[in-house]
Amino acid sequence: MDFDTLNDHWRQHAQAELPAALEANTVMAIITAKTGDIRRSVRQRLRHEATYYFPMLAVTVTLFLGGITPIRLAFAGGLLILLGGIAATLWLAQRRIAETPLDRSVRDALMDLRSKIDAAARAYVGAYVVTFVCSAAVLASLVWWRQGMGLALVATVAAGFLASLWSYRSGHAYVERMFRGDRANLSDCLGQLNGQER
Amino acid sequence: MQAAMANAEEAFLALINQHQGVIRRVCRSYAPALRDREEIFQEIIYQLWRSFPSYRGESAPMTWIYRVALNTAITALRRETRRPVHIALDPSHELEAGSSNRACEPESEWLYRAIRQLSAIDRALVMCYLDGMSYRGIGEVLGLSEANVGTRLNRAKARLQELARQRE
Repeated sequence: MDFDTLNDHWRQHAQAELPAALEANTVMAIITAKTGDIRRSVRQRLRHEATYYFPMLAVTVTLFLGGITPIRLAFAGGLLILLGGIAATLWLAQRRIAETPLDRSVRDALMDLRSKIDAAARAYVGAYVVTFVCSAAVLASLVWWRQGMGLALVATVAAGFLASLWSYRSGHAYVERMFRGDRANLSDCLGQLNGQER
Repeated sequence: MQAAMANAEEAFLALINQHQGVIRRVCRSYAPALRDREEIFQEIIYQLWRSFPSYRGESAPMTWIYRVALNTAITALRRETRRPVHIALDPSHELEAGSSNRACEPESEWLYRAIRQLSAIDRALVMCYLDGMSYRGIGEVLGLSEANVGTRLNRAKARLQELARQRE
């Protein structure tokens, strides 16, 4: 069978199987449902990520059990700003991926999507590391305030440094697992566009 | 304001209905299972609606629809491949319900099955070509030069002909 015959089959099929016209309310129902789906999936992902950070809120609550002081208020405020910043960063990263415009050429759209996935991965690792670094800094400040310079402070700073290093490595491993499939598929398609055989 | 919205909806609906065949063909070429096909179809409609306000007619409606449909289908493919519930006995068998006898399967069904054996990008190339787009138009959809389209299309055509020979 030559290619012209295949072409004829394609055209005959395209003409023979004309789909029924879509009604306006069906199309609008599809759009409404999909909009809801996307919002839900962004929220779901954010909720999942938030479970790693919100246990820190328990620290704030515990702080106030012993009474409210200006220092405790400042500490709790700082913690809430940090968590709010992390939540906003993750939400924005996830939303950018979901809202990538797909009306450009396949090459441009795939490259844009891949760079947004990379940016999201960096945001996730950044948020994770910042949490550890801030916690280590607060802990070191507390030790310095209570005990001054000494072995305890050196040990706390060293432990904080190691914990921050570990958070960087484990954060990378986590985002690698999370985005590996998407990134591999996009890179594969871009490779095909660039003429690299699979 | 409401009248403008109603006009936009009307124009969008007319465009979708005029090119619904193209969208259906993209879905069928990227998703063998009916359930996945319907999901991709709805996703394409949603993505088209989202980009409709920025469509100013610089490119032909067919080019715009192909871009959105292919980008959606290609990026939806990763979700389908990640879905754990589908258990295929033989990955090379992408049979439709009711088409268990390959010798008797309609030509159109065989053609879609053959197209699905091409890589994601070659599938797009072949479909655009079969739908009568010029090399320039295909290049605009995929982001390739006209020369590149020609070379790659020849390779994809040869692969399809090889599959056709194997079938005979």
